Amino acid sequence: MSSLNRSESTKHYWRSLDHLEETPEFQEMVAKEFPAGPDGEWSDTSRRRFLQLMGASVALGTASSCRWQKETLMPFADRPEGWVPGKPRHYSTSMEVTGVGQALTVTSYDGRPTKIEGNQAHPSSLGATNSWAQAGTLGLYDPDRSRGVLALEGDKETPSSWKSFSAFSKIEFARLSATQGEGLAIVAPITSSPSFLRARRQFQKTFPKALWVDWEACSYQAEAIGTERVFGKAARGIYDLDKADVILSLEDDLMGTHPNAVRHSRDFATRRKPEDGPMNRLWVVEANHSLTGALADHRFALRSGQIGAFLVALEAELLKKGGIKIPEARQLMKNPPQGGFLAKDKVKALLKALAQDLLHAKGKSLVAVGAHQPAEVIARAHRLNVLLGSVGNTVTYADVSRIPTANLSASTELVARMRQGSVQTLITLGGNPVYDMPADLNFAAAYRKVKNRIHLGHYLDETGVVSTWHLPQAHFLECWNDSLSWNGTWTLAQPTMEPLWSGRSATELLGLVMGGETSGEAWVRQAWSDAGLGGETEWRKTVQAGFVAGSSLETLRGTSAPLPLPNMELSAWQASDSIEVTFASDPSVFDGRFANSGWLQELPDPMTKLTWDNAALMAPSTASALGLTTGSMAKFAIDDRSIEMAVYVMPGHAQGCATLPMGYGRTDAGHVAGLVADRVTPTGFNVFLLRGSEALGFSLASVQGTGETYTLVSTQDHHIIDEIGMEGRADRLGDLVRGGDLDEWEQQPDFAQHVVHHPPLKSLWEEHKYEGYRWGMSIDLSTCTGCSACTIACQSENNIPVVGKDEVFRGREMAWIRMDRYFTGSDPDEAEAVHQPVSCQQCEMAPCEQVCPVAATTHTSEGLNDMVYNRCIGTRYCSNNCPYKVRRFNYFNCNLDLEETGSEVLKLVKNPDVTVRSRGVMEKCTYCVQRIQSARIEAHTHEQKIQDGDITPACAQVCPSNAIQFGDLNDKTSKVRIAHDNDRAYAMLGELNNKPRTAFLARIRNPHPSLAAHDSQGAGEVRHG
Amino acid sequence: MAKYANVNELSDSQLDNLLEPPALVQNAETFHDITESVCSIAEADRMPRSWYVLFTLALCFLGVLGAMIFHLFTTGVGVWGNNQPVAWGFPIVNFVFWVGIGHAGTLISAVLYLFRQGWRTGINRFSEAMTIFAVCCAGLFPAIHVGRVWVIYWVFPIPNQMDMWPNFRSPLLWDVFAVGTYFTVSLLFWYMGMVPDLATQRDRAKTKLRQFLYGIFALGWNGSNRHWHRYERAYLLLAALATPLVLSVHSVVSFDFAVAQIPGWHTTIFPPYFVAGAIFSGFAMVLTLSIPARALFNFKHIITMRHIELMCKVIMCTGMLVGYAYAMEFFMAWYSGNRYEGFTFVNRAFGPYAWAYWTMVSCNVISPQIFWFKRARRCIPLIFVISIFVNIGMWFERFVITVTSLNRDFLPSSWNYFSPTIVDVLTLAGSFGLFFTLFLLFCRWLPQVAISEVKNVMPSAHPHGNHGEVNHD
Amino acid sequence: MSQYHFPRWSNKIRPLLAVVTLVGPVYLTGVVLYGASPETLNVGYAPEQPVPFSHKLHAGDLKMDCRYCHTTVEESAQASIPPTKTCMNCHDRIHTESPRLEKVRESAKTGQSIPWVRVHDLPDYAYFDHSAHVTKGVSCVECHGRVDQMDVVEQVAPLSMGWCLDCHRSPESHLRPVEEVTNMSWTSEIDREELGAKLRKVHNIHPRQDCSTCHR
Repeated sequence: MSSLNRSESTKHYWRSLDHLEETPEFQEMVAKEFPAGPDGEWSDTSRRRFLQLMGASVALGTASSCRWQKETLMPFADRPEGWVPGKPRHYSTSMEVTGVGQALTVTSYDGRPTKIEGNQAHPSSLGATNSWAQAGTLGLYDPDRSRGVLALEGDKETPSSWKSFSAFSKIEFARLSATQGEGLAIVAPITSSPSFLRARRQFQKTFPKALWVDWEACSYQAEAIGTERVFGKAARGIYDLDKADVILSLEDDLMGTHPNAVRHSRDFATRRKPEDGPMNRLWVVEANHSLTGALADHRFALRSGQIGAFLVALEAELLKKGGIKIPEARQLMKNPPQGGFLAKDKVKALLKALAQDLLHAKGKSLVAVGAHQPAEVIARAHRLNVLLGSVGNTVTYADVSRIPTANLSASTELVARMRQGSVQTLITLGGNPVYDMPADLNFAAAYRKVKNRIHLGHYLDETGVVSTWHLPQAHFLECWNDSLSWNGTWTLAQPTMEPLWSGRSATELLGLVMGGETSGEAWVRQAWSDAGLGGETEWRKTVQAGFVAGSSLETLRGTSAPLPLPNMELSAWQASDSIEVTFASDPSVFDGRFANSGWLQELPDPMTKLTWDNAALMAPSTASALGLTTGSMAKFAIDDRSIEMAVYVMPGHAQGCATLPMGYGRTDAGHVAGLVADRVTPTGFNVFLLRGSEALGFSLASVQGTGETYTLVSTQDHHIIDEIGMEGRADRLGDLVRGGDLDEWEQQPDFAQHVVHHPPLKSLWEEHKYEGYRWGMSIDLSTCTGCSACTIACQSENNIPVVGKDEVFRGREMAWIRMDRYFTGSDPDEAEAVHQPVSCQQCEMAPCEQVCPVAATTHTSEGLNDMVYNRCIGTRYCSNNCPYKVRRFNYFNCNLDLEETGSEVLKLVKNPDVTVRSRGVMEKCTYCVQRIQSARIEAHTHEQKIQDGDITPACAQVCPSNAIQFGDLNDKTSKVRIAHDNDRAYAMLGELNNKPRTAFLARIRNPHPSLAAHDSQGAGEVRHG
Repeated sequence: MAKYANVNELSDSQLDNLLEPPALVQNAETFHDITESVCSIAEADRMPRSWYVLFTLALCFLGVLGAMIFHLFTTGVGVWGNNQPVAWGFPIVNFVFWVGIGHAGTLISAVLYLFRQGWRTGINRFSEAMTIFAVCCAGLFPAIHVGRVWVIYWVFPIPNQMDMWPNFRSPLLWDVFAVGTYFTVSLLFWYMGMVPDLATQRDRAKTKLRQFLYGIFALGWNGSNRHWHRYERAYLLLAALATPLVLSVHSVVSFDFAVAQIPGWHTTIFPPYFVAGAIFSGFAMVLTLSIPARALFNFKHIITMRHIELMCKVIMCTGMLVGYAYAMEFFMAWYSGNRYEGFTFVNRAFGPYAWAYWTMVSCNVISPQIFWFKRARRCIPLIFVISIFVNIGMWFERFVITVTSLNRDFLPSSWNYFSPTIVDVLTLAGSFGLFFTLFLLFCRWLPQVAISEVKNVMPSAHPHGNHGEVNHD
Repeated sequence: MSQYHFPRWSNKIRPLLAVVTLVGPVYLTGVVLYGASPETLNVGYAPEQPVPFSHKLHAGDLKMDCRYCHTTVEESAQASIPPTKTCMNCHDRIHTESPRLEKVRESAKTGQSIPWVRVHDLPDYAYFDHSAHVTKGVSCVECHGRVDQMDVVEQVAPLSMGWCLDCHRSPESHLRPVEEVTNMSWTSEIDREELGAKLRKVHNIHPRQDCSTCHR
């Protein structure tokens, strides 16, 4: 990596850069609590260790002032120019998921990345990220990552090295190139990386006969085929949600699991604040109750298989209104789809209103469709955009024909060849096909027939264990790479540290086996220079910026005249007695690749609030019809494939179908998600065992209860809530989560402030006056999507431990910012959902403060509610007295895992600016006081005042929809002050006169006038548990 | 000395018909008989077998307590069932429960003494001992329930290098002082009262060791006029000092809840309500202890039916006070019109913890009603059972207050159900072990009845109204 | 029967008993408080360093400025121990053979750190920032004492919370002109309280006593 030092922005580096990662020094460094960091900020006694010493015994505790163990300071032998020990540095890099790059800015302390933020300047991020990127640092330091090259034979694992592998590959691939790659196959994950694709082209030149298979569980193949039908080329719809007045999502989770969700949320949010001009209107038709559905103004729950029919019916409706012209109009008008659910008056009314709305907003409307829908549905949906004149206004179609998508036919072909034994060598470039290939292909069995099974991966996973060579893959924070973001911006990835476990990137491996360039940087630079973007200076600038400004995908021309589409096979939409199952990616672990991250496993699902498990989601009526309820096990069967899986009753889910989130039930993921070999039971259930190649999106299945039950653990409604609880909740919900419809707001903009009637709030004593700074926060419920990225960001920033399923079950989860989710509406099947992030409200008259016997939680002169861990004795009185229940208690030492041999590396993930709490102390949100302090010191050493925007708490920084504002309430011009002055602003439980510093902004919905106003929040609570 | 009617030949009804209330001491011929019957116990070489059985049992439970606390200290507070939002579980419930028990002692000794209630003499030593031991158990729980026991000394205002003082606004701190004071005063009071009797035991002691030990603790008492004079004074003073504490301690304990903001806690009725409850449970415990004891060590002539009957009356009365408080809570919840307050009480009575609530009501309010009937007040087995009921009921009262208020407070998102772990249960059981170990030891070695005071209330003590003068023989 | 009475001599020890009961607790608390105080435990801590580096020689006799080695003291929380390179700036010419510098030369050769022993060791939950203090005119001397007179560096201040607070409550007597911060032997012509009050205004210094100032 020495070449790195040439690049300006990355010159300052991990101090053990020059000696390579496998040297004993480095191992020792890892084995230490913290790397014996530059200039001794890190030393043999870490914060946690100290607290543990105190925790060790009463004697030690009482003698806490005794001199604790000797610390050593390890300065550089030669400190790099301009390196300031103890000061964080920021590197721009990126992370790629399913071929879409996310631009990131990584905070690194003394050479170890500790926090990930979005790249402010990057169009697809604008400073925000999703939770997967936030969990990146934990992934980097995951002790379960494979720590070296392994040669496997049967169950025997023999540690090997890159040297011996390259020795092997030299011979093997020399042989193969002789035969032009006959009997060679590659399974590659989806990537848009120009440098990788370049390597790939070269590879295919060297081995023309080699079979190249692109595979990932979440495929965009149908989208490619569908768009090709309409535009003649595989296209990607790039949406400008801020320009759209009317948005129709056909089971496309735009703000949830969509690859561009971060940017979508930002754009969508700009049109959800009534005071900032006209609101948009979101229509969602979907089976599962997704985050996007929760945001919708009108949501219509419909089986995935019926969505096509709904679309055709909509076309017919539009034709009737003479709004659009389509080639096959005549026969469609002759026999328009009818019957089934379309017969319902409610649906008729909905279609009418929707069509009217779309036409009314012609050119400013947008139709989005889920990538797992059949090609013809996708084609029709995108054609509608053309017909409605949205192209060029709210959506642009970009040519993605050069970006590979998961290729099912190739996969099938590969398995066939493997069965015949005509594949001698197979390289898996980072994927996990044994786990996530369609079950009917039975990849695993065929795979064993291959002689040389080479697996590159972060973990010795399901594929790894049955391979002959396992090669450690470099984490995205460890290697050079590049990718295209959703809108095609060429985004670079630079390593933020030397590979911990000698990992290499896919590109580097390709280079190795081709006997070509093995330096990832060289590949990226090559791609760069091919693009002719300039010399060294520009290169450095680009690396520093993290992306090539202005670069984008090629926009499709001539999308105005779409090709006619064949009549669609509409059989699926007639209600059938067997249940339809939809295979969905999971918001926490996606397709299973993030499964071994404790943060993501414990992150409650935004809708179900489930942790550590997935479950089959069903509508209440469907579940009861099948005699199932939350927690009961059910057997799902398609053909000869079947799985048993726990059921979760999801209010608002479409009837007659179930949603099965993928990515769980990993048998060889690691000690977090499951490692059967080590008797670590897998979390959740493996849905891939059911998923067949005949239908990757959804298909019909038979379902029946097994009579067994399973403990699903959620962070909300830990136990099923009885009638009284239901009534009580429904009764108060309107007060807690305030909101209303647009017309309500128009009549009385400050309606939210008059929801609760209480006597005037008077204090018995003279209240403290806050001169100087007066920190405050605001959370806009109108724009909050509930994505829960804030929870993970907070966890990463504040060293919040993971407690595990059992403790969550006991109700001891530690998240400082809680994403409360409530269902409303009188009919469980039609329920709507609202989200409300709740963290410490920093009350000016904090109830917690006065009850603490040792003054461990006190008020600052700036109105912060300080929590002093090292003073806390753990009476938990403060938590009892907190009306928001945002305080968290360390019932055990949650950091014991750091002590386990082999897990020490986990210590590197801790943020050095935040004390790591030990057993028996209370903790809670501090508004990221460490950030406030560093900003203060920065400003005051230069004798300036802290400006608005100098401080951003982790939650506000990550928020994709900018729902969270933070700043000085005494500054009339600060964003947060403006938010507090907003008519929609209200204080939750303000009637208690706690004077919370966090204000919520009421949620405004924008329903279609012609449709009867649905019950607004809190109108009625539905049962669920 | 005047001979006194032998009551045993009379039936209850005849007793009732007697013009004057039955004597407080029955078939004791002389002062000497009293001394005999009390001191003989400590002097006996062996105890009745049942004592040994009970003592071993108590010791076992004490062992369990030790084990649990060790487990707790080494592992963390998580071994209990406490969670979010129920951050206070069994430990605090047990604390309030034991403090409550610790009330009757001082009440009986001090308050009744000030009101010159002669009948206290039979049971006051008993109940004072009970108080001390109960408060010991009570004190244990707040101490072990904190997350970091090793720094619990921070709650005491000791000057330190941090320049930090405890937070004097916190009710928990008030607790520390209230309970501390109460314990000290009760202990002094108990010990003071025992001095003359210890002297008696000293004088009757056969072995040198006993002579020495009793001698030390008797503080050289020789029953001189001066001694008696000062003794009476000091005793009166301490009684006066202790009386306000009876009210203050449990009022302060109730502040732990009343000062907090949680619906179901935040109420002004708590202090009197808690005090009434405390007296209620205290008397119940006295009965639970004295009934077996008087049988075991045949004190029937000292702790007479009349004592027991009177205590039954107290229990019934305080029971109804408590019942009134329960009702009043509901009324206030409804009358306040406060949504959250209202919900909390409906939830209490009909929510997931309804079982606990109704156990409480039936034990505390309904069961004592039977004492309206004189027969019930004189039926020993029944009384014993009821007293146990009351103890159970009062434990549940604290459980209901603590847990049902917390488990469903303001935000429905954080609602959760509290269920105790085995450690919770064993710790509670263990605390009984501690209590009974101490109590049985007391029965073995110390005068269980205030000999001198009992003698005081014997008619032979006032032939010519010469008070205090009691000869040791 | 024979009554047990306290022997005559026991009367004599009664006053003694009284004294013990009264004075005893006070004495004990005193002992514990003193024994456990940082003044007792930490002040004077002067561990042996791997390299016998003398601040007296360098900062004192040679009059080197603190910031020559502790370069980041004005911009970072850490004053930072200098890299071996800094030593070698001179010592590749001076005392090149000195056995006492063996470790230094070795480190320079191998690139391995010299394991210096930390003298001023705050608990890990206490966050102290050098830059915040130094740039406001709080001299090194205030906490580290006359390092320029120490052959072996030792801790002179208790570095206890109370000690920090004393200064945060009334900083005047600890302030000096910023340019004099590293001047160990600096003395004020005028009364320091007076000067401090002035400087406090100039730099508008408001030391905070909120918990989160040091504990996060």
